[in-house]
This record gives sequence, structure tokens and C-alpha cells, in this order.
Amino acid sequence: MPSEDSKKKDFEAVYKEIEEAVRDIEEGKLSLSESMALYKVTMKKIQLSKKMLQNMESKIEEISNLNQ
Amino acid sequence: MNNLNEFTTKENGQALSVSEFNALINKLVSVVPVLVEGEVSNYRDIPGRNFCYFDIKDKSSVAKCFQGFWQSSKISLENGTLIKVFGYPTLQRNGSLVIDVREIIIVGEGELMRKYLEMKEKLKKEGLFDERHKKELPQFPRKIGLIAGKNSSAYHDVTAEIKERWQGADIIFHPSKVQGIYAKSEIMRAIQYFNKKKPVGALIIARGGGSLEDLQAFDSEEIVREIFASRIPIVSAIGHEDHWTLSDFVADVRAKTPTKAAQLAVPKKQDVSERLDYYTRQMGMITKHKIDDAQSELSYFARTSKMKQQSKINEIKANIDKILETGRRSIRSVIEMSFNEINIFERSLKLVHPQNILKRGFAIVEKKQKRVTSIENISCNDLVITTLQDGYFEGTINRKFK
Repeated sequence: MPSEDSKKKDFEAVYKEIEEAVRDIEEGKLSLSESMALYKVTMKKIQLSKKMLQNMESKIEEISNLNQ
Repeated sequence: MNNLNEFTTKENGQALSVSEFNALINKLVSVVPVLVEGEVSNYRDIPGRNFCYFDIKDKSSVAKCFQGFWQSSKISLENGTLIKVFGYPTLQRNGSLVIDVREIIIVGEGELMRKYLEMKEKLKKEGLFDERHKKELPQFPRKIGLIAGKNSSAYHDVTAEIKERWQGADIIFHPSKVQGIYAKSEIMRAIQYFNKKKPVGALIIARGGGSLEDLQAFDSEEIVREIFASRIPIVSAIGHEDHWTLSDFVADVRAKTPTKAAQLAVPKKQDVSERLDYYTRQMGMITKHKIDDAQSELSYFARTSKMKQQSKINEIKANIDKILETGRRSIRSVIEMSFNEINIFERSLKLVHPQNILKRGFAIVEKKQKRVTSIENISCNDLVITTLQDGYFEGTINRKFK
């Protein structure tokens, strides 16, 4: 199911973006207004990824020999 | 009747009792320790007793064996196993001559072990186990492949742990025999299947330990090479702590148990959530520091003469406005508190602006277009210009005092 796939891909993508943003902010090379803008969007991403964590559900698929 | 002297009797010539006969025979045979090789048959232990009986046989003969479990409790025997026994012949009270077994060596296992060590050395020399070939596991795999026995405890342990830790990964289970003659080809086919038809983030191969013989398939060269060739990173949980199969050596990551394999393959939801909380705190703290720094910088400017320039004030005011605008919308109470400080500061900034100072009744005195800041700089009859908030006047100095 492609929709399920893209949802999960998004989690990793969003998480990576968050990590990168925190790294950028930590490095301290950004101006005050840049950091604040980044803070704002990253907070939104953190809230989004937390919601994603809540809604995850894993399925088990069994390969039967006929499937091959 | 032959000469009685040729026979062993009691000292008084009386016949031996059966017990005495058995004791005599035991005395004679027990001085001959033996090492005998044969195939186990008729193995039986008696529940609740610390010993077992079995036979060892070759094509034409059988020897009975007796073994106390305390002597060799590690080995469990099965009919058909080729073994060597060390022991002492003993005539039991029921008249059976048995070997009182002191030690057992499984001949087949010795052979397996030799082959295992040879193959291990060969593959190691080829570099198949080298660290540089180990693939990294993905941080958030969306799909986990699982090769394990159908309904096996390994299957249950892995799926239960993944579901418990991380619900973000689907499990694609490929059942496979994990011991016996079909195990090798089925495991190889399963690894190929994932690589060719069902890409997954990581592949777990699991079974719950077993004897060297049980694990034989996982020591086969073909499986080791198949694991090596896999483009999907493989986590193995096959052997046990004191025995690694060759598959465990070649796998990208080796886990002690199937549950551990699941833990290595997927993150724990709670850890990820806590990490996100940490990021939230970290970003808030750094941004707050940045605002504090900006405030001190502003105060510094205010204290220095640079503040005379209206343009600089405007620039800073514009900055403050920008900060306030972004800040009010984006950051929570902690940071908003800093903005209140900025507001207070902004007001005090206005107070120090020269124009505001003049409004409060102060004046600027200049002589020859230079500001007079000390009585030393003027003399009687000097022409000075005095600026007030709304104009200026000229005058000549009549008298000066200090």
C-alpha cells in the first residue's frame, strides 16, 4: 500500500530534518532571526513526528511458498 | 570331574555364592579400562533416577552400557549416534556385563567440529568476516524481513519484540526449515527472495540455539556466501553464546537471541520520543541564549557613543521590531519574557537619545563646531552656540567658574 509507505518514509525524512535543524541551531552560525524562524518550523515538525509515532501500526505479512 | 584345584572356590573348597562370583569377576575385569566405539541404540533413562542404560553396537555385536548422569550430564544421547565410550567392564548383580561409562565422545560431532573449524579458517582468510564488509542497519526501517521456523519460538520472540518497540515497521515473514536436510536450500532461497523480490530495510535470520548438528545448515559454505552477497543488511540470531555459527560470523550484526535481534533492528518508540523532547528543550535553550546575547549587545551599544547616530538606532529598532514580530508568533512564554525585557530596554533606549535628553531641559554647548564638555575648553569672550530641543542661540562668555 503506497499511502502506508509514504507515511513511514515521511517519519524518517521529518526526523532527519529535525536532527539537521537542531545541529544548525547548535552550531550557532545562524542569525537571531534565522534561528527563530528555524525554531518555529522545527517545533511544528517535532509535533508532527510525535503524532506519527502515536499512529504507527505494524503488520505481519507471511510469504507462502506459492508467492514465490 | 576334573581336578577341583583348577577351579576357584572358597578357601575351604566350598562353592562360591553368586555374589562372590560376581565380585570375583568384577575384580578381574575392572582392571581393564576400555575405549569402545559403536552406535547408540536402545537408549533409556529411568525417570527420577540419576543414571541411564544404552547399548552400543556394531554390525554383529552389542555391548551394554550404564552411565551415571553426574559423570557426563552435558551430553544427551540419541539412538543412531556414533560414539566412543571410556569405561570399566562391570558385571552387574543381574548377571549382565556392562561398560560402566565414565566419558562419552560423540564421533560425529568431533568430525563436524573439525569441518566447522576448517571452513571458518578458510572463509576468514578470504575476508568474508571482515568488519569493512559489515553493512549498517537503517535507523528507521519500514520493513523487516524475518527468516525463521514456522511457529518457532524465534518467530514469536522477534515479532513480539518488534511490535512492542516500534510499530513503524511491517514484518515480512518468510518461513523456512532451520534444521534438517531441507534447511540449507530453504534458507538460501529465502535470502534470495528478499534480495530479488521483496526489498526490506533489514533481514533477521533467527533460530533458538541447538546442538552443533542441529545448527549444521548455518555452517554451510553456501549459506555463508549467500549472506555475504546479500545487499540487505542481515542480523543473525542463530547459535548460542558459546557457539557462533559461521552464519553468525558473516552476518552484518550478530545478536545473542532472537529478541536481541529485534532490538537491534528497530528503534524503541519511547527512546525516539524522548529524543524529540530533548531536541525541543535544546532548541528552546539555545534560542533563548541567542536572544539574551542580542539584548546584552544592545545594552552595550546604548552605553557607547555609537548610539549618537540616529540611523543606528533606527536599525536596531527595526531589528527589535522584527524580533518581536517573529518572536511573538513563534516562541513560548520563556522566550516571550525576553521580549518584555527588550521592550523595557527599548523604552530606556529612547530616553538616552540626545533629542529626548534635550526635551528634558538639557542643552548642548558648542564652540567652533566642537562640543564643549569641560570648562577648561572655553575662555572669556569665546563665541559659543547653545542648542535646545527646538532651536539654538549664540552667546559670548563673560565669566567662567570652576
